Amino acid sequence: MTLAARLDGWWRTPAPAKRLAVLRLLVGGFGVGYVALRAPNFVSYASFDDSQFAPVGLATLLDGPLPGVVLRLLVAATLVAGVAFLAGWRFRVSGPAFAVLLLALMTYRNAWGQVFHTENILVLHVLVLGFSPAADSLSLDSRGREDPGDEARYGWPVRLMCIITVLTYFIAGETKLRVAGLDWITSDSLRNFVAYDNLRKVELGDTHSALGGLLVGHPWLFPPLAVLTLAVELGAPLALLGGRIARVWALLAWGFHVGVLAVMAIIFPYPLLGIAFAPFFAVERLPLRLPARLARRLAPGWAARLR
Amino acid sequence: MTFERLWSYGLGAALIVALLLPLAGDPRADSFPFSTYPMFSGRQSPEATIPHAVVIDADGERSALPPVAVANDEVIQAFETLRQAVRQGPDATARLCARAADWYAGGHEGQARVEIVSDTFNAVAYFDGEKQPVSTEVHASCEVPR
Repeated sequence: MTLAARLDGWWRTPAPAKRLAVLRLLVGGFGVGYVALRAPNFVSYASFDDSQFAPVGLATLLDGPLPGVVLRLLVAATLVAGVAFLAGWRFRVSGPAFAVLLLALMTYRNAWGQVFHTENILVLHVLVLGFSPAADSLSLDSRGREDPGDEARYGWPVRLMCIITVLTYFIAGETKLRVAGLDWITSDSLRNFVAYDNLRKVELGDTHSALGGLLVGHPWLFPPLAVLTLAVELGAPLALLGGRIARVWALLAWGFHVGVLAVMAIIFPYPLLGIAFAPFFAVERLPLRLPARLARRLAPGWAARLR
Repeated sequence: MTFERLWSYGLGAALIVALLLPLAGDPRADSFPFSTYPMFSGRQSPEATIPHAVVIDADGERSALPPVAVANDEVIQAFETLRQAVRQGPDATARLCARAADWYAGGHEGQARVEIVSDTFNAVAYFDGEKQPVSTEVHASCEVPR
């Protein structure tokens, strides 16, 4: 077999339609919930001074900040499209619509001097799902249709979602080495970052990590923590080998976020809830009994597919 | 080559290239959603300058205003908003001061003054009990409207 054929086989490994659909439910569910809960925060940017507008990405196409009513409409439209995406209703339209609207909204919220880095993987995962056949199963659109089973067209989107997750962590690690070199491990930088981040939270009246404040008094802890951090980030591409290696890496990366929460009180909700790593798992095997009972009441034809 | 196969390679290549492109540029130049993730990547010294909005009441009691007074409920956004205003100069800090004063007036009575200040600390020593700033700079001061 040629190298091109092997790569094609790897890229287009068949996967169950149900796996891509469950990813749609997990990612879409998080996306809709996130936008709904954070809507007041997103709308608050309408009250910011125009001089604070610092566009990034697609927002650089704007002449200036959006009028408040347009921002509210953007939030509302994103929610409506998100619900349709989640339900898998008119997915040929709602899939791309939610992907583009979510990208627009998240880009806008990152366009005020602070790029947050908490929504990058979510937005990119939704882009992949929105432009793939993620509603061919477990959706309103697929009611009455036989489940398609395993096909390559359901496999490559999952592969791409894995690649997005892996590259995100790898790039973060690469940037640390590119900016600071091995000093990032051997110097007090990580310790000073932990102290600095907790200090600004204290001084600005936010929740900080008491554990982080305690640990900065023990400088010897930080070089090993720095090594662990870089091992998880730079080791991410190993997860593309799949199987147990992928699952171990996903667990380590999730553990990294638990550590960041414990030491710096920084929440990355999408990875912390495990959804950023869901593409590495056979999520169609998740226990779906509770959603199945609910679905039997709402859409009996659809519920049969959840067994 | 079917359309579906073409689409899989096209979308895949486009996203992967877009993800990797930032590696070719300045690692500190950030964007969304394609980023170098430069947070916590530099060489950080223990010295930390923290801008705040503080309110001084009629008794001279000084307390920090919450993030929502200058921005929204996100502390990092408030921090960056304050830093941005300080960078932009006196007009920007004066406007931010006025915004914080208006916010304070909406929920409090009595005479008070708001200041936009930057306190510089040794962040590591701070958690060892040295909580007083090593230096303070006032960028703007404004009365709370009554």
